[in-house]
Amino acid sequence: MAGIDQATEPFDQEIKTLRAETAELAAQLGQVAEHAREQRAFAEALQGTTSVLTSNLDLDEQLDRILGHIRDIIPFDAANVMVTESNTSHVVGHQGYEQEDRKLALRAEFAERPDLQHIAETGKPVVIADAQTYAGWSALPAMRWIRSHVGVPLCLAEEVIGFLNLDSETPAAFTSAHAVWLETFADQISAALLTSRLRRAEAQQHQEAETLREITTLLTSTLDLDQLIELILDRLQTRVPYDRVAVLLADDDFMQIVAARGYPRPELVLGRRLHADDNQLLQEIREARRPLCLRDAQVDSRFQNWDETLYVRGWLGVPLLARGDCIGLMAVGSYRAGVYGEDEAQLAQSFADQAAIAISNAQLYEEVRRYATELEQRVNESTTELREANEEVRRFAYIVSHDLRAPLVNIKGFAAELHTSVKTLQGAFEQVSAHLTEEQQHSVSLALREEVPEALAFIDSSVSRMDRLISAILQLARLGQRELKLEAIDMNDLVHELLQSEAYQVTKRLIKVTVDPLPGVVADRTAMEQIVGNILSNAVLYLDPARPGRIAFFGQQGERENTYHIRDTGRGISEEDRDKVFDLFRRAGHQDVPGEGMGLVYVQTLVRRHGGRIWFDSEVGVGTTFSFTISNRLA
Amino acid sequence: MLSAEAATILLVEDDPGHARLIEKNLRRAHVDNEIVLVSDGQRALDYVLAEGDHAGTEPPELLLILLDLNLPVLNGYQVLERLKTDERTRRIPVIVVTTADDENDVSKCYEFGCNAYITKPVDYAAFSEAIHQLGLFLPIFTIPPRE
Repeated sequence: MAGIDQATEPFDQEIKTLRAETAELAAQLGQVAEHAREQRAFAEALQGTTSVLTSNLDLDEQLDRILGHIRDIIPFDAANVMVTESNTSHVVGHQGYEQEDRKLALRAEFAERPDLQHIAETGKPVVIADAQTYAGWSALPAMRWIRSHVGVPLCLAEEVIGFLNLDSETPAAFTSAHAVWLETFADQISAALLTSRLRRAEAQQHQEAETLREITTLLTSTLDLDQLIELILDRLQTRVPYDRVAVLLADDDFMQIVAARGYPRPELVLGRRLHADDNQLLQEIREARRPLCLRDAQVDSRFQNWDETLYVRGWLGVPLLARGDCIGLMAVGSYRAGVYGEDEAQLAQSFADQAAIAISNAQLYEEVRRYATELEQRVNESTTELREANEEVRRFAYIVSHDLRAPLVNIKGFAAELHTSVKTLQGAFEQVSAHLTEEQQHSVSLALREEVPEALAFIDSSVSRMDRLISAILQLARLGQRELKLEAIDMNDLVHELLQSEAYQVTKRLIKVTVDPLPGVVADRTAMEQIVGNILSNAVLYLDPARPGRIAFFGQQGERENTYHIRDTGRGISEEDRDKVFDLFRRAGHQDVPGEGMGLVYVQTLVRRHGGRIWFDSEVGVGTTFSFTISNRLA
Repeated sequence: MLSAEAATILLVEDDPGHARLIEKNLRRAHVDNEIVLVSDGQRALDYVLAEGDHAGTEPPELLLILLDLNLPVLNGYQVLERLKTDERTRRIPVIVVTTADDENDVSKCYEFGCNAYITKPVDYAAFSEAIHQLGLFLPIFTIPPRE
């Protein structure tokens, strides 16, 4: 056997080696198989998480499922997903922390977690085989149950936005290979977070659009400032819930509280004026023109001057910006700390922007309305005054015409009686003159035949003139009272008819008359005849005999009123006479044309009664153009 | 029924000048009736109804009233309205003689029941002619006797 043994010895050795190699190979094969199995499991898990990502599940559910898939290939006792934002972090999804002693671990802040800070700095995973020996492990008692840990960064565009953390009660539960796998899952979680953020941004945009729409509706439904603010506060409650809110509007250097809700005694708050210089919060918001968030107002010194309350914790101050001005401020308070963040501030700001415009519009509207009311009142007062004055003038004209006439009847009557008596005396004088001296005869004869009749003639003509003037005033007074009978008038026909009545003068003086097509009006026919007739007869009367006479009629149809012009080549009205043209009893220029000087006063009165205006352009030695408008709105 | 020739003319006129001129012109038209002048509306009513200053007097059997409108105390319209709504006086002929020539004045007087309306023109010839015509008209005017 020894021989055999000897002979087999080398083989034995070989076999041993082979066995060892086989065993090693088998082991390797086993490892390969194990690795392949692991890889397959990893691939399956990855496939599972990918389908989670493409699902319509919300973020909580997505994270829960992803953590479930991870647990399938990397057993853990607890896992969580944290997001980080300006050196703070909070958990957005977790598994395995349900037990009371584990739960507290989730409360650990970023500042209390050197491992997370390390990941954030390096962007590399951290694998902790034994937390008890890891120098940087959190000293918090809440973390003590954790013996091993792996953390990988959640990255978005090279930036660490959060962490995927796995905890185990068993030491060395995680390897660096696990960390490699977790990095892949971390990418998927980042994608889920990004999708969620986008969705949220979209939802927020939608919400802002909705807010805008609501406020626009609000704006069109009311312009009453108080009502508007109440409605804005209603809407704000649904978007950014608050326990207290105050709206302040700028008033010079002050901000006045114009609306308040949630205060135990609002009447003590309303109307309070805060000076910007005394109030740091006010000043900061007004200068920065951006919202200002207080996580906890009670620990912020700036809040002390703002409100004495001990209840308000979360606080948000939003400027009301309209047309580039900070017109006020909205102060939103909550009894819970930390409820207001960037999102709330942004939402409240977009809300405040619209509210500010609405408030500013309402303020403007109110101002305009107040002004309009004031104006209306003033117009009413003037109208009443005018009506009273008008009525007074009318009564005056009536009294003048009647009371002045009565004595005229006497003056005229007794003058005539005197005249008759003088005639009687004249007859008697012939018989008695013989008894008088020559001188007496001469003077009595002069008195009876010349002086007395002359004096009576002057009295008579003066009274006649005075009577005409009184009649003119009376007529003017009646003109203002007469009811206008409105009818459609063809102005071309009217002008031609009036020209007929002036035909004699027109022919005699060789006047050339042109009439352009004139727009028709709805007006009082008699009044229109008097208006045009008076201007026409003035044009004819005051033509310059030294120059060829031309009279032209033309007009324009307007939207609110028609304008008519009558242009002549007459002597014209001098600058100093301009003001007398429409005056009662005043006549311009040479007094060689008979008339009472009433024509244009009537014309003006009649034009005004038709809601129109009358004016003229004139140049001495060239001519005059009279223009008047007749309102289209009388009918 | 009797001719106005026998009637007393009550002239209600506050302007003595007017009254004088009216009287002169009536006389020239050969109106010989008695003319009684009162200078305000109240006196006119007192005379007609035998009240106030005229209490206890007997108003004339036949009466014709020439009434101005612009009068003190009671104006012409008020006098006219009282006369024409009073059963005792509504048949007395009333001729309004006034300076007012407004359409409204004329219509109002006829509405109140005046029997004629004459305007006093400022032009004396016209005035004189109007009163003269009135004077010529009176003899053919018949008046109901007082009830």
